[in-house]
Formats: sequence, C-alpha cells, structure tokens
Amino acid sequence: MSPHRVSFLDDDELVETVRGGGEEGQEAYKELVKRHQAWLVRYLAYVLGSQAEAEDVAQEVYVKAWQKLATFRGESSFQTWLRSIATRLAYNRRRDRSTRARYEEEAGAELDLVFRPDGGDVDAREVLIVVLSALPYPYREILVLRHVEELEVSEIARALDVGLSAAKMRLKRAREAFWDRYTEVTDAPP
Amino acid sequence: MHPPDRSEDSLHGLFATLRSAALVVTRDLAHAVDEEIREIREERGRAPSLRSMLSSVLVQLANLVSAGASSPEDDDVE
Repeated sequence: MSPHRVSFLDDDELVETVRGGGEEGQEAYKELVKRHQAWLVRYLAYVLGSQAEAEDVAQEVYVKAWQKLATFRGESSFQTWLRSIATRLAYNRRRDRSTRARYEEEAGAELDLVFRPDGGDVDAREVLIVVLSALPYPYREILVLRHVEELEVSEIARALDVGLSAAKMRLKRAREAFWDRYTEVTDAPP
Repeated sequence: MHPPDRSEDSLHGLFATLRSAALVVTRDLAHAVDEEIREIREERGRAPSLRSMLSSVLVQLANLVSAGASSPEDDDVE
C-alpha cells in the first residue's frame, strides 16, 4: 500500500493494517505517527517543559504503542490510548532522578519550544509556559489535560488512573497554584 | 494581561493561545520510529526461540555428561 493510499484510511483502519504486518503495516504505522505527532509533541512539551525531551518521549510512546498494539481493543480512540501511554511515559521520565535534577537546574532556563509562526501572541504563550514550568508536575499535567487537551474531568481521572473526586481536587489546587504564580509573574517589574 | 477573575472559564480562555499553537517538530519521528521498529523486528528474528535455547542447553549437558564419563586422566594425556 502506498503512503498516498494509507492517508485515506481512518485510525481504526490503519490499526488493522498495522496488525496485518508486512510493508503495508509498516506504512500504516508511519501514517499514524505522522497523523498524531503534532498534538502528541505539543502535549508532551507543555507537560515536560522541553521540546527536546518531548520528542524523545514521543518516540518512546510510538514504539511502546507499536509493541502493545495487540492490547488495544478499540474501546477508546487511538488518540486517547496514545495519550494514556504518553502520560505514563512522561511521568516516568519526570520520576527519573537524574532527569528531575536536570530539570530543576534548568528551571528558569530559556525555553526550547519552537512554535510554528501563526500570528498568535508569542509573549502570552511564553508567560504561560513559564508559569506552567514553575508548577509542580502533577498540577502542570492536569492543567494541560484539561485546558489544552480539553478532556472532561472524568476522562482526566481515567487518564491519570485516579478517582473522580481526586481529579477534581487536584484540578482545583492546580488552578489556584497557577493563578498565584501567574499573578507573581505578570506583576513582576520588568 | 490580567484576567478579570480566577474562574475556570477565564483560565480556559487564557489557555486558548496554547491550544491554537503548533510546535515545529524538529525530528523526523516517522522515520525514527520506523527504523526503531525494524531493528526490534530484526532482533526478534535473530533471537533464538525458547525451544531452540532449551535444545541447545540439553545438547551441551549431554556433551558434558559424555565428557564426564571418560576418565579425567585421559584429558591429561599428551
């Protein structure tokens, strides 16, 4: 199957083609990677605060997803399933002590996120990224899931493998922490 | 720059600029993932199966037993 042909298939059809194996399966998986990489790298970059790390983890996510494809039952969308893998791998990356130490050293360092020019307010984006980066990881993660990925709280609870009330509480605290930090940053003298 | 309040809607509005943003993916992920998957497949192809590993161990054990049956002195004969 040509790359052109696979681009007409929806995600479920691509997954089936991947399961069929061979060169067609390989082409189908490359199409899935291309189709989902924009949101996946953005999600990981906001959560991890680093584009380089986000691309590393995105690669791991795709390889892990390919290895686990037999367990994907199609009960959720491929995107939801991929996001749940990404959430776990990003968390693991942060948990790694050496990586965490490096992040702490890099706190306040220049952002390495490369935005595609779109006429948007770049300064406002950078302020938000700086504020997010200053928050504890669980708060940043849940804010990105809710306000960038636009998941419902019940979906967030499932993605994070926590109860609904725990997700609500974490989100409430995350918002408070965000506003506190946002006020500090935007009130700071130039 | 200041939002009018700390409501969820206000925060969601503030995040619109992040939702609309697209990052330039600097790595050819499709190619990198494709290469990695091919390597994994090749390794799997090369990796001996459990059955073949067990038979290999059994053959080696049989050889050891057979060698042990001969006299140790035989090995020292030059």
